[in-house]
Amino acid sequence: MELKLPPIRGLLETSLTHWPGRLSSVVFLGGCTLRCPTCPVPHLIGWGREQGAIPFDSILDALYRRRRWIEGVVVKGGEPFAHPDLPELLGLLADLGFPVRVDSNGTRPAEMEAAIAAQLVDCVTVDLKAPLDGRYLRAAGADVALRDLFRSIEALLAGDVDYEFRTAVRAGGPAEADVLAIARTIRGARRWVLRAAGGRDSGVTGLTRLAREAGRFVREVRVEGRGMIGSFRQAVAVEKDGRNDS
Amino acid sequence: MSAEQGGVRPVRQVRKRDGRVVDFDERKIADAIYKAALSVGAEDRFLAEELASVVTLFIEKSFAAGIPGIEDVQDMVERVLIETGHARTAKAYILYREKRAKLREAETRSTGPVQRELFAPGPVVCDDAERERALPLDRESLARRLGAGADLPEGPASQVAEAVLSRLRELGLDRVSGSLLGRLSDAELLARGMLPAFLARGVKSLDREGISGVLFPKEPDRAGVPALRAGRALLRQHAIEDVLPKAVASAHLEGRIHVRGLSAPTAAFAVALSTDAVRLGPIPGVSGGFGPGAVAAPRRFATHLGRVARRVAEHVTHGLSFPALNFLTAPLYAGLGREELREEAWHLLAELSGAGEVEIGLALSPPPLLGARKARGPGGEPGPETYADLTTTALGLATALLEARGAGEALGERERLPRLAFTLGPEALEDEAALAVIGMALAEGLDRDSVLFVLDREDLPLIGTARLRARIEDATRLTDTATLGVTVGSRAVVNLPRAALRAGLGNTGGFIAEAEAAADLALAGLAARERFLRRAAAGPDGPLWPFAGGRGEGARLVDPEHAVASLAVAGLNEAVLLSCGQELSDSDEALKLGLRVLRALEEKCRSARRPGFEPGLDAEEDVALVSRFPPLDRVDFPSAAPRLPAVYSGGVGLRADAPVDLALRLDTEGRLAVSVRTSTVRFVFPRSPRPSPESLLALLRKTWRNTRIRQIAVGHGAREWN
Repeated sequence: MELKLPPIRGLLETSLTHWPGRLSSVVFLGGCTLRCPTCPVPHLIGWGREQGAIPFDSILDALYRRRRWIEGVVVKGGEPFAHPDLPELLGLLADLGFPVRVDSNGTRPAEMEAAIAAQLVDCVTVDLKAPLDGRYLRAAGADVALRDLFRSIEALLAGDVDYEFRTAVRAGGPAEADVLAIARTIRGARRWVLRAAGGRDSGVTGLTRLAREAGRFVREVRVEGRGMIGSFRQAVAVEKDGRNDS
Repeated sequence: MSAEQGGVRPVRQVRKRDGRVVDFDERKIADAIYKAALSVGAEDRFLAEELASVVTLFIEKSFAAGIPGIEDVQDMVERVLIETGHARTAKAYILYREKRAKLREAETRSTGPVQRELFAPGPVVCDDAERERALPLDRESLARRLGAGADLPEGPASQVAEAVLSRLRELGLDRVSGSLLGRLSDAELLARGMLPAFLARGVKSLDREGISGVLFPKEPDRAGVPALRAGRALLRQHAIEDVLPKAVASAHLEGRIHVRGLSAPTAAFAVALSTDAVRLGPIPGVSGGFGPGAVAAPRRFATHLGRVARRVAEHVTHGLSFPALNFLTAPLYAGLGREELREEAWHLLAELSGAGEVEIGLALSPPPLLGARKARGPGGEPGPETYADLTTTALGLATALLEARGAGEALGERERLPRLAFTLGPEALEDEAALAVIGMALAEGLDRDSVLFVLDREDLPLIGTARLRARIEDATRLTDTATLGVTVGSRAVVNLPRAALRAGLGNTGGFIAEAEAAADLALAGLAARERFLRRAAAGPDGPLWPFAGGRGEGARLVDPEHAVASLAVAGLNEAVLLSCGQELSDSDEALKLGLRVLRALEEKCRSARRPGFEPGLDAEEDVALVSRFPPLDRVDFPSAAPRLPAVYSGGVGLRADAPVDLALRLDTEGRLAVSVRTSTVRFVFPRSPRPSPESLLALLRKTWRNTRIRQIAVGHGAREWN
């Protein structure tokens, strides 16, 4: 019987940046539930099979050749949980012995919960683009059921699986008040990553200050991106400061 | 009084002391008598001339049948002066003669000012530029020079010298530069068909264009102190012509190999020094009343270490290192707070800055050789604590040095500051305190300048420099921390692409044979240079004598007797491509060919080993050196020129932009690293996105476990790895 797998549109064999603390491979799936105006991978939005897919055999071969190095596989999109065949792929990766992380936008909570329940994922990240109100709809460029996002957040906060919330901070992105509004939404979360994106390197100092502020709501806030190393030390301090809210 | 009177034959010539026959000149006799008279208060020039004519008359009578000598003339002057009642003048004249005789004697020993002789044209004067002195040149002295420089026997040397002097006289030259004299001597040797003597003399000089090139270099990378560059150019000539065997010199000039450090043939390639040797003193070649107690205070120690580094660095071409400095010196820094440590670290860095290429070795766990030993206290005697007990201080000092270096870089002092090399053992990768230092080092590497991590594997000793880490084979030397040093005598590099070009595409067997032949030449060059190095340490005249324990005091700072030699390779990837049409990253076959070459060269090193000569295989990473080869290869192999890159890959690594990801690169380079003693993998990350320190730590751990790579450099750059 032929395997039914989601279309794999890209593979990054080795990455030091996609799963901090691990050397990982990254599998990119096509098809997204959102239409963010600032999407960094617009070629992955479409669902059409005609866009082609990388045969899983070659993915398998690449992962096998790097088995001594790879400490996990990151599956991202698009929106991976929007693919009905995703469990099949996650199962194959788990069978190979690789820890798996799925980077999601949080719009498919049921599928996410099912994958977690089936122990097909070791870590889930949810990208929060804006506070969960009208601002989110604008940022996502699509009509999104916000309740799905709340449900995804609740599932992660209440569950045992490792997770991470992520927010890209860029010029024209969420303002300071927006960032703090998101922080309140994920109050008590284990980890939130603020990522300087879109060349907003000059704002790193501000980002660090934001991280410190957000530390009142979230146990660990990390800052990534340009100048991240300097900020990382700060983030360690934030981690300590932030524990009073947990 | 006429010379024709009395039927005597007029005197026309006089024979000088060196045998030359010159015209007789009565005025010179008059001058001499007049000068003698002046010295005793008489001022009668007319009388001097009268007496001179009497002298002439007597000479004509006495030497009717021959040519009088200068001494005969002078004897006659004395006689005439005495017999004509000018005893005081005669006495002054006799004293003057004696003085002149002494001067002549001194001049023949190449000292003293030159003065013209009486009665004849003055001797030819040679400007000795090296001693900044003008010396009289006669046949004997020139013959001696030719005898020594051209291996000429006394007779032919004397003939050539006489011919050269005659040529100078014919040309009317009474003053000649050393280089012109050399050229005239060469011309005479060639004219007489004495080719071996001509070749034996060699030519070491900078002509006008060469000097101009030194003073006003067209290439920016040739900037520097002109005097040093000129000196290096001359010494390089000397080394190529006189130190290296002819075949090796040809291969060097052709670009088949490159023998390093020829412009400083009496200097070692790299030296690792134990700071205990410096602490315990006395330090040969370094003045100062320091002893173990006197350098107990960190500040005094730093000052002393700086002095030693600067002194030794004069005799090292490519790197001076202080292995495990943080552990060996921990007793000096024990008990200091964080701020105090930072301050002392800054002083240490400042003292070592500008002393050339200096590397501070920082161990992140107690080195196996040291851990259980009692640490030497500030007074130099073993104290109650072991080095392992001092780990916290050692890590604190490493941290302080890291922070101080970061601050120094921020001030724009990067080039002058010593580099830090962190040695990691398996313990350090599991220890929280050590991991904190590693994380800081990684952050510094990505923020400012790259940092070097040395993976201290079982067979890897804790000593060496970034360019080479050698194993101490002699166990007796490991019993004393003061002797934990190593001298890398010299390095010769094999241009592997040239070997492949000589063999031709598809001829992999020929490629390996050519690489082996080049290795033989390089090993011969290494042996020659090592011999020269030992000569530099063998006697009081040698520049390395004080540092090599020649005075019998203190530790050996440079040790040519136990020096290791380095046979290095460059451009393996390009060579494999030129030989089999595929790069190392293209196929297993290409990789296997690369491994075969390295193993063949490793075997060459092994079979060349003998007591006092221990070559090992290394990777040459120096971009400046690797850049020397492609232009030479293009000239000799024009048909291959379009396929040759501007710069060959350093060492045995893959092409910098090879189409492989990080994991495959590490796998491949890890396999190649098995054969070479020092292999460095460079992780260059862009400013954004950056990996987290945790990810880099994971990478370090994996590299440790999965490969035999010995060194990792982490830094930032324009290129992204993943």
